[in-house]
Amino acid sequence: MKLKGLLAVVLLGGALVGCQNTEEVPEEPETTEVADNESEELDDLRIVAGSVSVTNVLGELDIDLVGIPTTDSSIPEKFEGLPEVGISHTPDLEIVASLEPDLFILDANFREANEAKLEELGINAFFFETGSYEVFLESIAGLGTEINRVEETTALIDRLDASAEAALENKTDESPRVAIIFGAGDDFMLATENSYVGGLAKIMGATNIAAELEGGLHSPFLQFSLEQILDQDPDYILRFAHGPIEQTEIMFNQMFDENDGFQQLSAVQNGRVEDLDSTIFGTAANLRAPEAFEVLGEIFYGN
Amino acid sequence: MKLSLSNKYIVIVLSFFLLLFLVIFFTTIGSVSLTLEEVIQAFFSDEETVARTIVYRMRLPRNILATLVGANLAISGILLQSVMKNPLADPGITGVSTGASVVAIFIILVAPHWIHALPLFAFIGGALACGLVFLLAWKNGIQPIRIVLAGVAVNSILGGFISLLSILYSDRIQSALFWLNGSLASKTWDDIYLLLPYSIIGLIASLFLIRSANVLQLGDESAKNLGFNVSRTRLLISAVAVFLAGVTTAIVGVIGFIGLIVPHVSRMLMGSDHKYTIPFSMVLGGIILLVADTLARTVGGAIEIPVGVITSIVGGPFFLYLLRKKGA
Repeated sequence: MKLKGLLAVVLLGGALVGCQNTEEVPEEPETTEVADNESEELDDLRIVAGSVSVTNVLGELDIDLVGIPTTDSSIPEKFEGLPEVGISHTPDLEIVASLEPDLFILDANFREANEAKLEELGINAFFFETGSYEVFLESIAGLGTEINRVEETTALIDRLDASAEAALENKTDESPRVAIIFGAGDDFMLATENSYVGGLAKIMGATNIAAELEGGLHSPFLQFSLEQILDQDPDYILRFAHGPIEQTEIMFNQMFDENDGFQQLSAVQNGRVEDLDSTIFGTAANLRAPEAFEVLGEIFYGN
Repeated sequence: MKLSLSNKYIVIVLSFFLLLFLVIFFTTIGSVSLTLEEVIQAFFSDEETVARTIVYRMRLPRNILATLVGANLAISGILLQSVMKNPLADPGITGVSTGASVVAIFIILVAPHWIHALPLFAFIGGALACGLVFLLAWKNGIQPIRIVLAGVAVNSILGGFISLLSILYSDRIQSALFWLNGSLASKTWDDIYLLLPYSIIGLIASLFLIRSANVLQLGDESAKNLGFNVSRTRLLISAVAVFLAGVTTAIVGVIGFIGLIVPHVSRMLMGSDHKYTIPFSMVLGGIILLVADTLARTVGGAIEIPVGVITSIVGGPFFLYLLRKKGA
């Protein structure tokens, strides 16, 4: 019983100390320094990039960084050797804070997980979207404003848009009907217009059969059955491997060769099954979009 | 391995001071190396240095939160084990974690604009699932075996919903995974202020349940003969346990194994009297989760590992070792 009382006292004591801390925290002025940077010289901005896509965009804009994401993907050579701040899913905020950044750019997918903490730490954050080609362009524009490089980002956006237009040069009135099958290992899904690849195909004038099956779910990827594909019988089948790419390609071939159902698809019979290069397409929007447009233009319109 | 009476008190008090020491000491460890001087300065000076940001705004709150979470889950576990008279009972069996998970994952994947209210909704989800389990288990009073069975059934139904959501929204599953595996990364002081009052209420309540938990151990007949309303006692103890697990899970996600392993270690050292095991589990839970979380944020270098993963991978084999050594 004595111990019980003792522990109760200790716990309550702890609670009171805790409450004192509560009152202390908001009093400390700590976020004001961030706002002052606007007037600072541009090149003095200390920027940490938290995702590969944005690292490449910043490399393209020839902007200096003080920290980069930990990744196996290729990033511009000039950033090699910089401090790594962890993978984009879970940036190591301790390292980020130690780099004293004026701006930390991270993937918008991880906004919810990090926003409150970054605010508490007084780190100015920009959330970069890569869910689709359109939001990617919007993010580039937003970033241009944020780091005061509107001219450069506008030029980059124009360049990307021009590549899409060039690929559409031979577009006919007929919209090709496509099924984009996304494979990771032995798991296959249909990419909808809400996915990055699906969005590119849409820009290239294709009609995605997944739209018929989606049922208002707005998910970038859908589970599907062969029956549904047979029913829709698309003109083209684009196959896109992600994750363990070699195994996935083997699984793709197995699925198409060994299943009679696939052999009945007109796309298969007409030899209109294409494998998309995953280094060009990717699951997140990236700067290789012009190459992607070129590939799709070639497939659909024989550019 | 069991200790004599006065040694038990000494061990409990010493562990408590060890816990306090570790909360402070672990602020010197992390992916950014700071000198001891910098850390001390961070504690005592108001100057906004990088070291202060890291120590005071990142490591310290995390350590405190880990301690609270560990204590809550351990107490929840030991209370439920006494109610169920089943050494395999842990907070998960009551459906509270799965219930909270379904709601949390629904919010993360489908309605991310509700994310700020996630703890509240997750708690409601956990409470509903747990209420359902106890309702299903109620038949002229509460029998432990029926709670376990109803728990298994409800957990598997809710597990189905989690799988369904993860398949429908597979593109966004990454952020949900961290929640499902419990993580203290990116938790703030606000989370501590949110959890602290509930922890104190729950932990103090657990101290007042020591006698009831001991009586339940005697078996239903003896308890009844002693004038106890067995079903009511079970419900009361369960309510405190579920409350602790619920508020904790709502804030940090699902962290397994602590609720199972800590009571066992505690009993190995302290015997079966809850007078010792409950206070000791509280402290030991804090220590173990604090160590696990420190591993979680340091072993992977710049890559954060969910603490739930550490408690399972490291805690599991350790637990087996203890069981073998005890020869049980």
